[in-house]
Amino acid sequence: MMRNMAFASQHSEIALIRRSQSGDRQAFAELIRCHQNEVYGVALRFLGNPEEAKDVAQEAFIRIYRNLGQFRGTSKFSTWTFIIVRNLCYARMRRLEKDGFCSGENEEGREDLETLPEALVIQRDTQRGIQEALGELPEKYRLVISLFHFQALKYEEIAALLELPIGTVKNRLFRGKTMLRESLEKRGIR
Amino acid sequence: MKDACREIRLRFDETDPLRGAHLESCEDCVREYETWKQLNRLLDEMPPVPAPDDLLEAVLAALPRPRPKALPFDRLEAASVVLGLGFTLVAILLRGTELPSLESLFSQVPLSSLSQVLAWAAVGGAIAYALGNETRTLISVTGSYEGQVLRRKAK
Repeated sequence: MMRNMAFASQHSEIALIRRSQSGDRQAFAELIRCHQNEVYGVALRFLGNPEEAKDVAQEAFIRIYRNLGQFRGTSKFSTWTFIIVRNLCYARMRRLEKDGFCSGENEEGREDLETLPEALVIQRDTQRGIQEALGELPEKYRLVISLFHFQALKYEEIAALLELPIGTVKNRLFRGKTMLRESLEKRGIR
Repeated sequence: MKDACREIRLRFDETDPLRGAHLESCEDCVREYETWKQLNRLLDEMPPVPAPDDLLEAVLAALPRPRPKALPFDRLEAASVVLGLGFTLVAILLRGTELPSLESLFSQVPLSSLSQVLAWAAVGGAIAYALGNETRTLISVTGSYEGQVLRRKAK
């Protein structure tokens, strides 16, 4: 049953992609609806700033639309999409660094994390604690944990996205979660 | 930590057939696995991050406008012929009334009634074809202008 649903969903996505490739804007709008949370989420994990993430997500969809003709279906659409988002995020991070903006592990980065939509909706102390503990992790661990748990990406997808061997992804996930657990224990969260 | 334990713990997030056998004989790893599952549960309960409400709208407004499809040449030609025939029909119906004679336009060339009909058809067709081309140009120009405006707004 689940497999049939997955097949139907994949089949309808392929149909949407084909229609979008022939210039059907409504079909592309539907594709955006299906992927906007993932695209925005990945951008947010990379950049740690909702405004920048929204900007990159918008740019990513425009790039996806322009390059849809190059999508041959040899990889998953989501993987192809994530690689576009990743490249834009790297470019944006370089630009922000050049302009003197920081994101990630310093105090400013933490302030950014405080303003994440997640943080705004998190009411329980536990979730706030997890968010803070995640924010204190080195970026390479935080990114892998976020992509694995919040974006539900598989090892292979994370490896393709970050251009890392699968073994490194698994190691970072393990090491990052071990650090996270220790940090949570110090906060009394078990 | 033993190497075997580390290997198993590295694969706590995978479906590993060896894990069950190892856990049966290693209490440390059993405790570790329980803690690991609890951490996964906490992480999986974190609320998802929804995309901003206006993202879809912003993307659609910034998309390049599709180029208007130009009328196919043969369709334009067919329309010209139809209009030309229409002119001709009108010319025939009005024959005998004060229809301006093409003979007056081409006074040096004597025209039979058949050649007059054909000449009217040609004139009608040419007018229709020219109008069609103008319309096509107009559509193209306004289309690209609208695209420019939308892109500027999106920026």
